[in-house]
Amino acid sequence: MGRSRKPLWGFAPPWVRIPPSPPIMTKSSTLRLRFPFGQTLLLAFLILVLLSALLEVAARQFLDDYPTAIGSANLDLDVKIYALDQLVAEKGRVDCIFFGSSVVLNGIDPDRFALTYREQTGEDLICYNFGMLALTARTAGVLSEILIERYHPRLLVYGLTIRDLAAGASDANRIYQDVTRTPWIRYQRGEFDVEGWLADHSHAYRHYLAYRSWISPTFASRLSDFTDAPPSGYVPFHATRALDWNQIEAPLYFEHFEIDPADWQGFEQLLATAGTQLVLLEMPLPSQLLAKFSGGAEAYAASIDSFAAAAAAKQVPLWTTTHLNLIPDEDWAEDAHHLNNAGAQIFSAWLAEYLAQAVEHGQLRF
Amino acid sequence: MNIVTLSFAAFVLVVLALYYLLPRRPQNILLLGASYIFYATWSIEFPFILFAVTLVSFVLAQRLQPTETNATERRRWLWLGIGFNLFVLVLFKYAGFFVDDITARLSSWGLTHTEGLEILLPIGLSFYILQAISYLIDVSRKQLPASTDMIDFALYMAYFPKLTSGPIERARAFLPKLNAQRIVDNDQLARSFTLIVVGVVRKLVIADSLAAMIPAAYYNAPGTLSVVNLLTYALAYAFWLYNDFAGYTSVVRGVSGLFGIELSPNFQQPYFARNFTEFWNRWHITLSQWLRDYIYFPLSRALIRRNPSRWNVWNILLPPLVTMLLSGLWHGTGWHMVVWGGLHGLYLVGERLFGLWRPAVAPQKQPRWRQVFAIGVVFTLVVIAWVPFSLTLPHATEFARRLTLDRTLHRPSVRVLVVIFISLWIDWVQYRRGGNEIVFLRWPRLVQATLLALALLAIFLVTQATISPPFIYQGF
Repeated sequence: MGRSRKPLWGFAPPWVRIPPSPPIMTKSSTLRLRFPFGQTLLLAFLILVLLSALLEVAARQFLDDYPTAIGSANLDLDVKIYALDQLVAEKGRVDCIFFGSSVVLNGIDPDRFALTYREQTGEDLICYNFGMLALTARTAGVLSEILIERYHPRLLVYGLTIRDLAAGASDANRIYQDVTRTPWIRYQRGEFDVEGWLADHSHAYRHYLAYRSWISPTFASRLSDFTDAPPSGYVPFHATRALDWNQIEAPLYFEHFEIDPADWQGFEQLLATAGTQLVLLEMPLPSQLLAKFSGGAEAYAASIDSFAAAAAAKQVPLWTTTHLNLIPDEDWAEDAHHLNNAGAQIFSAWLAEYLAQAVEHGQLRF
Repeated sequence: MNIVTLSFAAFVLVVLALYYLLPRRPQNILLLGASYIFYATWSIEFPFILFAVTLVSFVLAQRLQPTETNATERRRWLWLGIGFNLFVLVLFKYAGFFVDDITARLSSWGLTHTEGLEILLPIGLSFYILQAISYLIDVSRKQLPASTDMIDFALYMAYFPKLTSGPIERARAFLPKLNAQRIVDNDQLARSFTLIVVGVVRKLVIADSLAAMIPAAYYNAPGTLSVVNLLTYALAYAFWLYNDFAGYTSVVRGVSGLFGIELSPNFQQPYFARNFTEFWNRWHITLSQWLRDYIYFPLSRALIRRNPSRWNVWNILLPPLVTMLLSGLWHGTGWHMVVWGGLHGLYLVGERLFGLWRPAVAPQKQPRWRQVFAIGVVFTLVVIAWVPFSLTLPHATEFARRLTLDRTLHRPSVRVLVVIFISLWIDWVQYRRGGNEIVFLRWPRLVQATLLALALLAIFLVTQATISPPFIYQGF
């Protein structure tokens, strides 16, 4: 029995001791889990669900007065949505939204507009300025659908200049990327995204998103952007210097204007907006600045006319304003692209009067 | 592929799924392939450099076998191997200095197309070069036989959990693990999972938050900040650096545990050290041990051979200073790193001098108040040394000048202090149990689960708050 013997057949008699085979190429037995396992993990998930529910209830009960955000990389968008939500929560509705870039942000005062409109028609309108820095048509096309679907305004006024469609407009793509990468925007556009879903449905999460820059050194100023957001969305520009034409340079796209295909696509998306009355509004620019446009003010006007033709094909009116010379020289901001507060008051009042007339003459269903 | 990303988690899961199906030898082959794929995700060139270093070290180690050559020849082969590895390190890590200089000179001569001169620093190079050197020295010292298995040796060099930032493993400890039985049972799974969760919390919740809280002015214009802010951000930097690297190490040790391969610990609550020797036994432990075994001890032994007196001044001064200066240069080029290394060298020299006229008492045997006082002193001096580590020398000087000039007082940032408190709490819990990193597993299940739920919530919320900076130590 001392010597072990390899059996020649498939089994060995019980008195034959078979030595263990050397552990070469034996099947792995690395994983040796015994059931049950993972109870702690399961319990942790249950606690997490419970904790989240508690936070949600607390947020809905106690945090109504605190800011919320959708979690965009573009803080402007976060603040605008928050302020507009607040307005709708307070007034119950929003009738008109002025939408566009900074020329709209500084150029249209919804309060002045509503006041003049009431004087003209006796009707109270609740309006909001949704002007966002550096916005162009490519981003406007995306946001317009969301604004209409979420807020159901009776009138959407998109204020444009030639920059909205110009190739080479600074920051156009960055804004577009920031906006379209926002999970909440993706979710609104029909793409499922967990963060987007949370931002849309969870109050607790939306509150956290407003405070999410708590780790940033600029936290205080970012938070004040929410708490100090103007209820009407309008940000007045208080000019401290008169226009100095020696200091003002025309933007690069004035020298060689070309339509950016991405912006044109966004423009068409904007024109296809359904469910509300859309009006395109040419935001005024000083005649001295237009003279610097390649081909002069006439060429600028011709470009705007071409946009108007495209809009007309979709039954969208485009109201041109530059030729009206509404704004005196002293009512522009120092950069000559934006209106100062005095200019914005004049322009807002004119817009209200023009709208009232258009409604009265049946040119606009509003 | 950053290790605290979902893509890395998916990568590990795929490799694990295959790994558990295979016998041991093919497991090693799988791990080697996965490691090279992982490395290629950083840059396609990196695996070639790693392979070259691996191949040369493997071949040269064969020449270091006592049976192969005589002692003189072996020494020659050893220095050739060390020289080759140092050449690769200098070429890729420190060439930036020379390239910048050459580029400036060429452009002054009107040659502006110098893009080809740029050299990319392969991630993890500093770590695997040290492994290769230690392997060659250990073979020459007959502390281990030269590996005859290229697969195992290549895996020792490339094993992906430790590839980018260590731990710096020794071949004599690591290679036997590749041939040992590996078991991943319930306990191992719980250990690994705990290490991963603690590591991710350290990295994402603590380190990344602190990194984001330090304003750019701290690095670029410290003279514009108040003393309170400077001190707060210096503290924040100290805890950021620690949690960033300790978090990384914890995650990779946890991941490696899932493969049944244990990696060496690298941190043991270093900010609770009561002297500098203890600090270096708790901070980046595998690097400290490498420097001790291959620089400090050999140098000290050589000096003692010349003069065995305990009052041998050279032996008191040179080993700590040379070791720490080299440690500074290993971390990066620039005079500020030399100052950082020099400061730590001086701290160690001071400690040795102190020990000459006052008999050393083990820290744990000292009264509690002295231990706490010593922790405070060591921590303060370590934070002071982090200033030149984190800032260029002119900015570090500006920092120091500001401390003496500014007299304004205000409340420090509460946010920074809260995050530091979390770090200290984790350390304290582990420290109380003798540095046990997985002490949490001893707690009742409900407490464990609650902590885990809070950790998961915190990780989710912090990832919503910031963009993740890369691990600091990948840059070294």
